[in-house]
Amino acid sequence: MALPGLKQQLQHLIESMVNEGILVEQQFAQVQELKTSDNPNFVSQILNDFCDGAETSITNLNKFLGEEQVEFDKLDTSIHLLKGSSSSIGAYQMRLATVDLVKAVDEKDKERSLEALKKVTHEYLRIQYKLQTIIQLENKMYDIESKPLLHDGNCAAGPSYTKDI
Amino acid sequence: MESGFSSSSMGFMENVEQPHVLAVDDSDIDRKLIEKLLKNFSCKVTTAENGARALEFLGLGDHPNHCNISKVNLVITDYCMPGMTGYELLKKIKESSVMKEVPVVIMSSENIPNRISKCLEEGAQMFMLKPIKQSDIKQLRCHLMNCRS
Repeated sequence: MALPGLKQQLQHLIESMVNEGILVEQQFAQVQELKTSDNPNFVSQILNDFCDGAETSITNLNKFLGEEQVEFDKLDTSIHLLKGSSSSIGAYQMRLATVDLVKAVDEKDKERSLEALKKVTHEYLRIQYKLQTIIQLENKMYDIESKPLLHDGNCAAGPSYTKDI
Repeated sequence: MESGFSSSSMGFMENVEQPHVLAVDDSDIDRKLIEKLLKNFSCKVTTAENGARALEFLGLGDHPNHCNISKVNLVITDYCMPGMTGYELLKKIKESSVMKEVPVVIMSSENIPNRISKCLEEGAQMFMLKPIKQSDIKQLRCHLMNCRS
């Protein structure tokens, strides 16, 4: 698919995520605006890091909450990372779910914490699927833009993202 | 953006074309985001994932050396970090005779007035609420370079 089509697809996907209430448009736009011509992969890198970090944190939390005697202090770092990263990319529902988890852990309520973690996981999976699509679209756009000009004029001669601030 | 400003003017970033900023955050993503934000505003950036590494870089760690003193124009640090908080890092910097003049900016995802005033009283130049936006960095550069709008 040509570049304009991919850009449109990306735009529609983001709009649908915003309408669904799972993505904060302003915040995600901030991440997109950081992309520069010398770092055109920036958005996919950040989203990949987000997914990796979230999965690691959720795994750790499941491990700690699965113990007979839960050491609630050990949960702090992972929860903090989940809350922070979901806020940074605008993963709205995931951040809300993490706030509930924070409360349950603060009250040292194992049952509630497990329920809250399930919700966090659900919201993560819900957004992760679409984030992976964003990553694929970004990568396709990058592939096209970093290729030399073809005779059909579909590819740019070089990266088209320039940001001079 | 929620921010507090301390009243002392910092000459540290005036006339510095490409300020060198040390950015400290335990979150991978936030480190990358703040690094890009700063680079897009013409800063040279070094990142550290915790307070101990930050102190080492500043030459204030366990094996003190003064190699990096003149190189850092600003430290920007997350407040909530395991091990050493941003507040504790701020204190150590302000206690150091060689580094105390370096402006320190604290970032936090939580808007807690006590936290903010505690940091400002300890000598933080600014307090910024996460998630940090481009406009925050613009304001930061302007403030630290004493811009008049």
